[in-house]
Amino acid sequence: MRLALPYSRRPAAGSVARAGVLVAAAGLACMPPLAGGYSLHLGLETVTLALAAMSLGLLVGWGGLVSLGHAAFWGLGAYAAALLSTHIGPWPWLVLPVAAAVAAGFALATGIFTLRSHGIFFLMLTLAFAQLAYVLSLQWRGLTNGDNGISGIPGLAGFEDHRALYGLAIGFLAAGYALFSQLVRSPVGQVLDAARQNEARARALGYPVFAYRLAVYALSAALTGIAGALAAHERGFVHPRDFYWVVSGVMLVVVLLGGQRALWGPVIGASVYIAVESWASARTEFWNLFLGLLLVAAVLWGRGGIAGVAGQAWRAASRIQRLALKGTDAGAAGRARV
Amino acid sequence: MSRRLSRRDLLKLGAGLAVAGVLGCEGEEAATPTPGTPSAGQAPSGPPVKVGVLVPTSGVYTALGRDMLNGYNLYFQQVNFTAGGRRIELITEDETGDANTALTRARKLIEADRVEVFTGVVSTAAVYAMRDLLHQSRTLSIITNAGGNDLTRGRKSPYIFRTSFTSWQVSFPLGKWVADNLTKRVAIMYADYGFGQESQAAFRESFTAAGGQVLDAIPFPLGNSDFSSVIDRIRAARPDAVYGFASGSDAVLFLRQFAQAGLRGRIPLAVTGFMVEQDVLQSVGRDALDAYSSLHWAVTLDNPTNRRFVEEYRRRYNEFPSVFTMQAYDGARVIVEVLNAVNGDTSDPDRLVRAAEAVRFDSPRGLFEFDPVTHNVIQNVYLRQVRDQGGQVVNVVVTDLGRVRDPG
Amino acid sequence: MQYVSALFNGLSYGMLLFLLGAGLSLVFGVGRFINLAHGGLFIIGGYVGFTVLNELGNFWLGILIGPMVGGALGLAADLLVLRRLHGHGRELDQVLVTFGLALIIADATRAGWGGDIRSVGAPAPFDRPIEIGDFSYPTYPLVIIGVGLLVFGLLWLLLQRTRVGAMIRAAAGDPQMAQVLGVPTAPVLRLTFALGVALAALGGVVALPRQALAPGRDFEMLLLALVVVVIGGLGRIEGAFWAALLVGLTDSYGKLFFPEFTVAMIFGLLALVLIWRPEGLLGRRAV
Repeated sequence: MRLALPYSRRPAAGSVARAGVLVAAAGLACMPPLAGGYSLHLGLETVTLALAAMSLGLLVGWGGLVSLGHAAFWGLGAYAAALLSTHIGPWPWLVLPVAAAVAAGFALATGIFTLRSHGIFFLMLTLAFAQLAYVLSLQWRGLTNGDNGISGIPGLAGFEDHRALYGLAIGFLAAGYALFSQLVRSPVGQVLDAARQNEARARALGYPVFAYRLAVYALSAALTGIAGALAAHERGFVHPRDFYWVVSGVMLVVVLLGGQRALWGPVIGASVYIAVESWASARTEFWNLFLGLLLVAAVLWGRGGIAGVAGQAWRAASRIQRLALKGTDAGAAGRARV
Repeated sequence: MSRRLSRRDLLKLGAGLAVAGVLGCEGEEAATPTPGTPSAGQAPSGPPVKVGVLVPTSGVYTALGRDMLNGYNLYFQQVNFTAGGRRIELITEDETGDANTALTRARKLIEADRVEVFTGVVSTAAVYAMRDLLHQSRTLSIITNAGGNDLTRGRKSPYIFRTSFTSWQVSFPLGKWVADNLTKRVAIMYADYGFGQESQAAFRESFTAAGGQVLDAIPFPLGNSDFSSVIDRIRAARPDAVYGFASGSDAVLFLRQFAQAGLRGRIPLAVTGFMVEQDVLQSVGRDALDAYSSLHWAVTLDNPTNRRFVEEYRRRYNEFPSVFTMQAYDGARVIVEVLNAVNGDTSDPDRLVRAAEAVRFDSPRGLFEFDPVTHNVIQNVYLRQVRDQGGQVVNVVVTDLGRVRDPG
Repeated sequence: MQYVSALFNGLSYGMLLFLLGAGLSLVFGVGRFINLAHGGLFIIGGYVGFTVLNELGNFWLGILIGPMVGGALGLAADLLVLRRLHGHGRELDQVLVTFGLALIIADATRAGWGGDIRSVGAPAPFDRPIEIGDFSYPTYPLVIIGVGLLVFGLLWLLLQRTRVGAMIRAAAGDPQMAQVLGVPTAPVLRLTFALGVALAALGGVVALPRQALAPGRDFEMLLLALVVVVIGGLGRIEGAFWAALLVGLTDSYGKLFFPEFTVAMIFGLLALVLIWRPEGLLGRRAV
């Protein structure tokens, strides 16, 4: 990994190709809305979880910042959406920016403290702030309605139909992916990655590691807040459990399951997680057991998460293809490293 | 390098979404029908009636969920899983302890399994979460536990009936009884969440109206493990009685530690009935002796229907039923009576609602009927005391506090 | 008088948290990973103790058998699964696997012991309160304090005065260096892991008369154990000890003064300590 790799602009042809791929992805993503009902609901749950987990994955995979407090951003986004929609109006131009801003604001305010810690201490400090937000959401009853949650949240204006909401969520997921994949190749991303591997050296070279980290932390929080807001509108309900550490835990599991060094890993991680959960829970009351076995198996037999396994298969396939073309394998996806 | 990578990554993203889509559709067919016993008497015709049962089979309310499932099965078995000429098929899902998950599972029952009748739900937050879903899908819903007041008031729906209680209904009559018969000086302790807050407010309302004085009110967090400080504050307030609400393991621990501190027998307890229900008593036993409580049922309630209910339950499950079993048992009966009334034709939701409004029967708790305005049950509430009856620690009815209807 | 009771409450709760946190901290010290199945071992200890009491009628036998079962399970888990994940760069894999194990334990205990609330009374002669004039206080919390102090003393002796303890300390200080010096790190880690989870199981049995067992208790205890270990500084037994007391006392006095915000107090304490000392109270830089 070289530091300060010059930022290369993509040729226009690349953008066209990317747009084509996006359309194809969007086509495939249309399946849940076409099926409607419960499938659409699971699809929305998957996409919102994937958006949040992808934002977390950026921190984990490139920043080396393993947060167990992303539920705070999710919950803030969800409650911002719930409160604005019920008291003022469910307008997307109001709800979504505020959800993102509130989450990012909380990230900036707490990041000043949390980002000075490392590893498990960072994890626990983010957990502590998220749990404080959880207790606040339980006890500030005048605002949050406490343990009963806020129900009857109206649909997002213009997106009352959940097919449209699903499209919006997919749009955010794609936009988040595009943004993050630019980011990890930008100088900011390179510095973060370098600091993850050797912080002292990155600092010694004069890079503003802390400022970059804080900015990316806030960006990650903002997208997680939007994911929470979308979920709130989809469910029509928010509850202090949205702030609970289990939500952060699920996001982290999804990231690790999908593969922490692949931005798209969380998308597959979220799909697998929600599919296994809904499949197993309809068949046995011991559905947690299945999730547990899945995790153990994923680590023992699938290093680098599902993305790692898929990446290996993908590389194997493209190696065969490229035998004639002669090329080098530059697969960055896969291979878990801490 | 970066161009090729990005395109490849995008393709992978597309593949991921495709997986999401395929898996999303897969959920549509994920149903677990629990086959009922084949009918012995009249042969049921047509497809079975699908009844969705949402109760917790994991998480903190697991024991309640199991009691409720037993109650459903006991009643449905008595009618051979047949009503209105159709077989009854139960589709069970796990409510868990999380309202968001409960909402997802309810959605599955209603949108994927397309159940004709929906029943169950332990948690108040969960029932608020799925209220709009039940209302908008016009699904006849028989709620058999969740007792938040608002489901009968601001958030009521014609399609939602409740065979259990509202928190007001259970605790309001207790306040007046305590003020009139026990003491005018109490300390209050309660679990600090929706149901606990509503219960203590209802108690306080009638207690202070009858001239009672609350010396201290002590909330404690759910899942509390140590009640010494609560007990110390009670002691410091020097009350003549303690009103309380706690449930599950909180109730068990409070009662144990209250007895361990040597206060049982010195300061009488007058609590909301769930705090000393069967699930708690089987764990604390004699440490709960003498506690007064108000509830809409007691295992020793003396009427023929209850005797038969308790006897059959004990024969089948070898333990006492709880109030949660009873609520589900009655919920099953409501479903059967409705299906009989419409001859198994579930096509018109409003006809189901009218049929449910007309349901009246002798329940183990006494006369059962729905309030035509709120669709909440109107029932008697009993003042009970925990006593040792032939070696068994059970609630004995002291007096009948009369019929109670939630004001709505 | 409330303040005196709160002191003892805090101390006894703190000692429980110490039993839980000590094992977690030890395992981190040697293995450099967080065992998320630690809370699961706590409730397994509790359930075993409950069964022993019910079948054999002796609580103290449970205190012996519970940790033995816990330790055996720890050994089995290490031999079957965790052994394959030792080594640098696999910390997150270990976290994921132990979280999976935690989920498996949660459902397995529910299958084995049901979802009912399980609790037991304090064993004689500790089942009645001490009364001094107007003041009365239950006896059993004092037993917990005694057990906690005893375990702390024994652990200290083990670590400071025995060969095995020296190996554990060496492996905890610098695994690579220890390996070079001929300390068999894999067996030491296995032993530490078994010891750590046995302590968690012991905590589960000792807590039985004070806490009720019910689904979900395992994750609550895991969270508290993590808080204790992190506040104390990872890998430090003394750190876990003082942090456990601090958390216990914060909890008991918090309940007295701000009952609505008890849960917040503990996490507030965690946040304050980590802001003040990013590596915990007794933690070393760059652990």
